Amino acid sequence: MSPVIEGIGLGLRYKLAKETLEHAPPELRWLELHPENYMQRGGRFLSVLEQARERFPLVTHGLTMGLGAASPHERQYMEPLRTFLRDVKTPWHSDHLCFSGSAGVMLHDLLPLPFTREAVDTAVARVKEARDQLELPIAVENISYYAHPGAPEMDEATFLLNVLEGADAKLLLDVNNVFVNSQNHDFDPRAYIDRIPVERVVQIHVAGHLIRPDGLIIDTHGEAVRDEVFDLLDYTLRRTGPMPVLLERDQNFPDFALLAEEVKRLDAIYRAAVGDSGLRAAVGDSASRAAVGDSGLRAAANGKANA
Amino acid sequence: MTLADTERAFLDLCCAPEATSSSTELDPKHSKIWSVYRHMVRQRLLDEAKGALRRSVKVVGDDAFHAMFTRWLAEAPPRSRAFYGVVPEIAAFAAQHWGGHASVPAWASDVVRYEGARYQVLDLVASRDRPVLDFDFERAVVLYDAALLLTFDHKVHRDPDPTGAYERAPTTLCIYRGKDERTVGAYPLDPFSADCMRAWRDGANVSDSVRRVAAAHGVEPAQRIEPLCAALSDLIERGVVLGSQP
Repeated sequence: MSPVIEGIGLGLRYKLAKETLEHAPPELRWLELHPENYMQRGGRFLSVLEQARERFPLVTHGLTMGLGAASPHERQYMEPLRTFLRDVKTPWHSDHLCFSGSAGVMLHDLLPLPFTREAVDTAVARVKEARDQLELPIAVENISYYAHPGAPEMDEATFLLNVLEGADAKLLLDVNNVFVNSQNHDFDPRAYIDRIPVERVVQIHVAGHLIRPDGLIIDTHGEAVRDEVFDLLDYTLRRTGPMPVLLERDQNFPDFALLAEEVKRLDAIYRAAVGDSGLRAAVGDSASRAAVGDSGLRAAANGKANA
Repeated sequence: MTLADTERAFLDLCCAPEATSSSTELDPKHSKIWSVYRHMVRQRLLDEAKGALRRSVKVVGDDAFHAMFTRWLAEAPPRSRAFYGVVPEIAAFAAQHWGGHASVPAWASDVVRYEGARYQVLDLVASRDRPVLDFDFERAVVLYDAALLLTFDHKVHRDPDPTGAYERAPTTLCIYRGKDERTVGAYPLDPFSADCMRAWRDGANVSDSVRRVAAAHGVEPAQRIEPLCAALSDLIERGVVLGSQP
């Protein structure tokens, strides 16, 4: 059975691994890792992965599947990925609602999809393929986008909801991305959160962002989390109830003590929003999810069930 | 604009040597934002390459490195899903691009091959927990898989002279991941020992490899035993030779 994932998590990054594994604050409950950094790789990364597995429950978060890509997923990626995910016992696997390349070229960035009916249908097909091939629940992450390619047929939230509904998918709700998009595209982030079907949310991301001199906000994962994002997280958790929350930090690493402080602040927000009992009530393992179904998840989120 | 059109336009936006009309295709009123995407994609790849291939950057200079990077993105853009797989791709392209190129030093191609191999060997899948016997000259040699055998025209494993030049001399190196799994070593092999090691890779035992390689080199096996044994001893100590096949 997969371990229960609850409370605050941190991305497992090689540059932070020693401190994460040796000096983690007690508020840190689980770790998230990118399979692309560990699959079919030997040496020091394998050693870090083995140590992480001994200490924490792990959740996987992919970087390159491109859940909105025009072409089907490549078998030579999906087959070893399935083996890897089974090995680390992740309760679900997430990746981004975007594309990351084309025709075998990988651009190693999260590129924006057009908000069109064609793109919805394609993403629905990609999410279903991924779920079938990986034999795991798939959580779709909303990305930051800085401009829309071509003419949109719907707004971002409608696009996301159509994909979730069409594919019957889970959601990895990136609260920082909601905030970044709300500032860059001038909408109310709380209204966006209000439209999210909470029963589909399995995980939340928070991160820091960069405000450029021209006002454009970039989702860098390289700065401290801003107060506005902490506030939006609080608002979100009060809607969703207990939910694994991940602090993403991928570059411009500060002293680990500062990251530990952010973890503690997130934990305080978490406890205030969902209550201490929420930590125990969080439903994190896939077996429990299968047993209780989405209605059970909703009940757990409302504090009416104890998984 | 279809999804496929969008993907093609982004590839062009990010990989073309100059910003092109792809931003017009994506939406001309956001051309500044498309240039932000172009910059982010290219800069991330470039930073990784320059960080991993520092000696190569020093050898050819920033301008030549950027010119190579621009051609790489346009002609052989990244295929690896793993970000760490990008550097070996760039190194392979650079080695070919700079080979015999008059505008860069003659050793540039060797230096980037060497740096690419050092980077690559850190991540190779290899296990030290394989069942092996104590070393036996009559049994197949078990080698650690995180080790590459490469031949160069220059002594790239040594520091350059004060002018920045690398000594020209054919050099075969065993580039290996150390026992701590975090460091990389480079062990120079004479041509005879290098050919023996290639034979071990193909499953030969030491006795057979010595006879075969001695015949190919036109020397008596006895003449080469002493330096080969010294190399073997060093490779065992460094964890490159794990033992003998059970």
